[in-house]
Amino acid sequence: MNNDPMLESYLSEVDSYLSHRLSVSDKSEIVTEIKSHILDSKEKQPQTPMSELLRSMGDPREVANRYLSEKGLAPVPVSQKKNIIKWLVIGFLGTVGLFLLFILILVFKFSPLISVNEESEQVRILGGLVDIDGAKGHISIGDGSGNLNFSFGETKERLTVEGVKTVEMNFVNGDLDVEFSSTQTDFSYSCEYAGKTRGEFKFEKQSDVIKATAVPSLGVDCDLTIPQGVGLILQGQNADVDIQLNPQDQYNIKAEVSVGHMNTPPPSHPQGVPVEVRVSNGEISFN
Amino acid sequence: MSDLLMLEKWKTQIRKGYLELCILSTISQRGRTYGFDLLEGLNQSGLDLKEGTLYPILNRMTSEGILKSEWETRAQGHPRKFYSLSKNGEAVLTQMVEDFESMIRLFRKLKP
Repeated sequence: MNNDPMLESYLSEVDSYLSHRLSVSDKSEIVTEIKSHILDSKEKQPQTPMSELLRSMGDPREVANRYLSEKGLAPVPVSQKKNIIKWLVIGFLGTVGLFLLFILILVFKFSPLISVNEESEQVRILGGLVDIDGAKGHISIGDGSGNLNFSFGETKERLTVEGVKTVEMNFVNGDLDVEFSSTQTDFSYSCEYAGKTRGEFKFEKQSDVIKATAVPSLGVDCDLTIPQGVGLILQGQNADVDIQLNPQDQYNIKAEVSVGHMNTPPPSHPQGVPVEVRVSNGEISFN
Repeated sequence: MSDLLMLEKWKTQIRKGYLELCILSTISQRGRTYGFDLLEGLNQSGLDLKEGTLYPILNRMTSEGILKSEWETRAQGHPRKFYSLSKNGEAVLTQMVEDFESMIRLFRKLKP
């Protein structure tokens, strides 16, 4: 009886309307006295339902307001609870609205979402954020200006070596087969690669050097064919490098493996074609 | 209708005036009483007072020092808050009775 759920619920409501306006002890006294009165009423009228006794006491908000009014405090607004719900709904709708606006901005910025060019075998997604070149077997993820691409694919090309002294390449995680050819007059390469690159991965002629333009972060698997008279500078880590020299040529060989294995290179000639190979963690084989 | 409304408003104002006088007088007569008992006594006298009106007034008069209160718990039962007049309350009641009787005398002179 002393903890009748309906009575406790009523008292809880009165307490909630008095919250933040009165001290804890004042609220406690008020709620306890109201409960005492209701229990006295119930003792006097045991047949009267609790709901009727509470109705006689009055609406919880009005009861709380009378206490507040007697103390000269502002009454509780009529729809305090409804206001809370109203603001929760406004807050929720506002959040949803902001989220939709964000999505619209993204869609606008990255439009068209997807475009396909069957002729050139190109697919562009999110306005070029993802660029798939089916002809080259190349996927690029980035702003397209070469700042950062994630690529994997295959590239092969032949380049003339007029005026070229060396072929240079840096690498990580490589498997490189280099042939110094006695018959081929151009430089050729065939590479499979994967990883993040700054710019497209390929070999480019720059003055007297043919140089790899990028270092794919996941690795390269390259077959390089170097014509007579052109040197080689390779430097990288985690790689197996296999070099087949042209027996008709002489080479100035500087080869070094910091962690790994290297067989004995052929004798080096100071006037020969420069071959510099440095590998950290890997293997160099001269054939 | 507007006359009735005006009368009702006037009666409400009048009630506000003598309600505290009635409450303090009843408590003084009983010496010491608790809310439920006080309410019953006032309603039996014809005052027609709701509990939701009485208790906030008792609470305020206690805060003002006109009433004293103390909780009492019987061996078997719930706690009750007992009220009595403070010394200050006795003085206030005496003055209120004087003022009220003075107003009645004035009215009797003025009534048509």
